[in-house]
Amino acid sequence: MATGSEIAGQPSPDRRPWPLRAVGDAAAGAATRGMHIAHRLGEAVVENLPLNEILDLVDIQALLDRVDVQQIIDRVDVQQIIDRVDVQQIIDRVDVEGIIDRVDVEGIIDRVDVEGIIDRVDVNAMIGKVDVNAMIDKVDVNAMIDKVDLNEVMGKVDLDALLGRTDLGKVIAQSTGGVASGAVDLVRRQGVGLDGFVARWAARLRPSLRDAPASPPLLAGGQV
Amino acid sequence: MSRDDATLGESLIGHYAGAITRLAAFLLDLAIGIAVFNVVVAAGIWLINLFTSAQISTSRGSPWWFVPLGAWLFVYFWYCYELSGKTPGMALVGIRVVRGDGSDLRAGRAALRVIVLPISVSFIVLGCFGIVFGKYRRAWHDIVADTAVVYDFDARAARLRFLVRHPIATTPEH
Repeated sequence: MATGSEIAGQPSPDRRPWPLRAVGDAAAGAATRGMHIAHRLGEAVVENLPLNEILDLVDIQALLDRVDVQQIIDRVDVQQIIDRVDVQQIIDRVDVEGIIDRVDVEGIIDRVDVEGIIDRVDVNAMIGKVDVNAMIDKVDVNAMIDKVDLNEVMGKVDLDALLGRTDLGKVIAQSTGGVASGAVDLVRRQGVGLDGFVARWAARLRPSLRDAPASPPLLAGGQV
Repeated sequence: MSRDDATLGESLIGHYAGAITRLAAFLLDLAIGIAVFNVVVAAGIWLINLFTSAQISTSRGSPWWFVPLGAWLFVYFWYCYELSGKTPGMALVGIRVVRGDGSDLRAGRAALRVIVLPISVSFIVLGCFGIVFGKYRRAWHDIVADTAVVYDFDARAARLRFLVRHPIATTPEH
């Protein structure tokens, strides 16, 4: 209980007898030194303690199994913690480029079962949800075409193969020009056939014609 | 494949043309030339009679008409040879005139060929004997003007077009 003088802010005189006071002071000094030594000893012990060896001896998994993590989490007010966190500052300190450089994207992609993901996707349902007309309305087709180098695109097109896959002959045959061309072809084919007939008979009568050149020198080999 | 089919399977461009094709082209050109001449002359006489008092006789059998007809046919053949190496009749049957070595025909040789052509035609058997039995398939007018007549159409392409129009019916194999 405080005395009246203590309340007034003045130290109260020690009224213990001298021997008790001396012993008390000595004990207090010893306790203070003891705490100081204990503190320094503790520091020395911590510094020299083989923490890694001790941790190797600890069965962390068993320790974790005994911890009721859910209960700990339930006690934590996560929202309050999040409110106190300056996320922007954390993000600013993160070296995103460095993290990305260290990530093996190819390795991650290789481990992803893309086929499996695609198999699980209902593409028809997805397409059914897309408003294609609205999407097309938003597209500036003229601007898109302006960006396309049509000459380069046409350069990559294998026209021979394309025409080979096209039934062009039938299209020509069905056109008016094709019919006229057919009549001319017929006349020419008949003429060539009769020429061959006459030439064969001439070759029978004059066998040396078999060795005669088929065309003038400059046109030999199909040159025109 | 028959022998004709084998022949038609080649391009034939630049090959010496045969007698039948050349004869067909000549007859076509003669018909076209005379028809054009008749139309132009008839139109000209009609216009002259319409706008002037002169009356030009068109009685048949007058030998004088052969002069302008001959001149016209000369221009017709010569201009066509000089322009593209072929007349309309030759273009229709797919042949053209070239020099003996295969190069393009010039105006001078074209004119010489047209001048000698009537002589060659007048002696049709002798004049055109070389087309059938000659090594270079040349008639008299070809020899004089050092020219040759060659095919100018792709017989192989024509055959392919024919096959497209008339596909061969194939029986499915079992």
